[in-house]
Amino acid sequence: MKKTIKINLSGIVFNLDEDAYQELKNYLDSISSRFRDMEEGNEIISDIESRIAEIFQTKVNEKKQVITIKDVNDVIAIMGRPEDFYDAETMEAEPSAGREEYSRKRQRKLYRDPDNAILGGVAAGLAAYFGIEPWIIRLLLVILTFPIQVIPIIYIILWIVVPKAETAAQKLEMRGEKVTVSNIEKTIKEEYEGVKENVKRVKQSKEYKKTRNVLDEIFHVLGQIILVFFKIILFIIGIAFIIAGITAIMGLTSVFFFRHALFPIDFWPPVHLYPLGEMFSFLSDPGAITLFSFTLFMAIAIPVIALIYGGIKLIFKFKANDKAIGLTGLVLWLLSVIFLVTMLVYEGSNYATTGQKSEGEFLTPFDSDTLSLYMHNDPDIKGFRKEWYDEDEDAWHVISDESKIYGKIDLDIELSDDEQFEVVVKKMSQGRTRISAMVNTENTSYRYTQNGATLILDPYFSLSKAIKWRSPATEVVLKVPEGKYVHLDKNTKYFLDDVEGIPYSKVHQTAGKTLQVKNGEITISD
Amino acid sequence: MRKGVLEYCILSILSKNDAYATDIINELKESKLIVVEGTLYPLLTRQKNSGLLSYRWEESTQGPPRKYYALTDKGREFLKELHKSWNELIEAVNSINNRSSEKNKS
Repeated sequence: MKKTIKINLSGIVFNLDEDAYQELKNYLDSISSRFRDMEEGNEIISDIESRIAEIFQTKVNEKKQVITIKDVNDVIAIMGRPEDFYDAETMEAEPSAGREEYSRKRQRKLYRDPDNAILGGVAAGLAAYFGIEPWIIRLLLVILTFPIQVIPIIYIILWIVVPKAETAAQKLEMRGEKVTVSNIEKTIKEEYEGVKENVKRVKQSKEYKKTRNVLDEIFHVLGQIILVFFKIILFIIGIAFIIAGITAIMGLTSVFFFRHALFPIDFWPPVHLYPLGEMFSFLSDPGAITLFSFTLFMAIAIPVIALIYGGIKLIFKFKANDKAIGLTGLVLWLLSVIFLVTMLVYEGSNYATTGQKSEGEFLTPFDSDTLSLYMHNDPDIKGFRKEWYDEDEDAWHVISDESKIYGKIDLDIELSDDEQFEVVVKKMSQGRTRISAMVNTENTSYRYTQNGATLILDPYFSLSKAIKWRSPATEVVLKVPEGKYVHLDKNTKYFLDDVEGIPYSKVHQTAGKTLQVKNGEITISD
Repeated sequence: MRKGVLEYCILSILSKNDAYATDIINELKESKLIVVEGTLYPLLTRQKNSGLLSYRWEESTQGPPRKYYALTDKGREFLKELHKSWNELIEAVNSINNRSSEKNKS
């Protein structure tokens, strides 16, 4: 059984064997590249095609309905190859130029090789493309998989997108002209030579004042030069796309799914990476986070894979169903983006309303007019640094140990209507509804201790890691009665948020000083 | 040189009868002036474009419609010129040949 291809030559339909078709196509391509630059080129080509149709008609009959490769070769022998034609201008036979062009038409294309396949035939196809033994490619793939773990992914992508060489013609194309790195150089050199040739031709046509338009020639040559540059640039862009894409995928995979970087080299500055799921476990369920990271990964990775694919397409020529691949990718990408947005909106609704709960407590009376207030100097928190008392300008920050998350408190000083010192702890949190927000405020705990005339505040409120973070905050308000003093230790500086009657810009300056409440006003006493 | 001869022959063939490419090819092949057919098409097109030839389409019972070429008036004029210069050339060549053979005799 042989596959035939139906063609239309000068309005007449012929059935050609596939190899015959390939041969005829190459021949007609060589003819057309020989004549297409001429003014009357199209006419000549269609005249020749119609003559070929005429010859083909004598080759088919009731019994033999298909044009074979022998018929095509007969036609080529009758018509002659372009290099056998006499040049219409000079009548000199062109010995080699035409044939070179003819052979260059048979450029290699990347196919998967089913005959030598172990898995999908990608390695065998690549080997055929580069004209080397498949085992070399296989060995390289396996070795490179250790430093570049995404190689299997690339293999699968290629497996999906690169077509299998099924027909004889495709297998020929697969093993066509060599496209190795040295050959790429050669091709570029050849094209450069071609450009040089054209430059010469321009000179000659000037010298001999041929009828051919000199401007046309110059544009033709400029076009050739631009084409060569364009090809080189495309090649470089292709490689850049692939490298950038692979790097991005590796980075993404590291951040999303692994505890360490996948790169074989160490980065500066050294980054301590957590998988996203672990990093944000205090925000939502581990399951939701995993789903979220996966979707986010898809949303970023699909365009990156498209980048790699584009790069591969720029460097290797192969036929693939770009439409189907592109559509699938686009649909997957849109789905992940929609899913992502939905999840974000849902998660965000956990922060829809604010709840607040205040608990006040009078201090035990003590024998002094002055209360001394300072922050706990050595709270039992892992990762706590005393320097934060001296330099932490941040309005808030979060630290965490194995079991708890800690958040910085705000400290306010207010007037009291009462005759005793009072400490009010205001706990705030977000929630999906008012009630859940109120309930969430119960999750934070805060401690302070009174020791006679001293009040020691914990600098942080704490929250169990088992409980989801709903943007909690804690404000500690000290209410000072009329006629009393409070001494603020220096270490309260970066916790002080508000002192009643003192402008905000001067609030921090009250740390280390004594405040006096007199005539319903807070003043700084010396 | 050969191009001129080929063009001359094409015009000469067409001066007898209108013909389509394959007829011309067959005659030229018989007299061994061309080897491959592809050579002819650029020549015909060029002659047509310079106004020496005109063509008309004729349906064919077998195969695609054929381009029948015919000489134009200009083509006929040109052919006359070619005849003249061809004869002059032959005379010139002959006289040189004769003279040199006479010299050889003497």
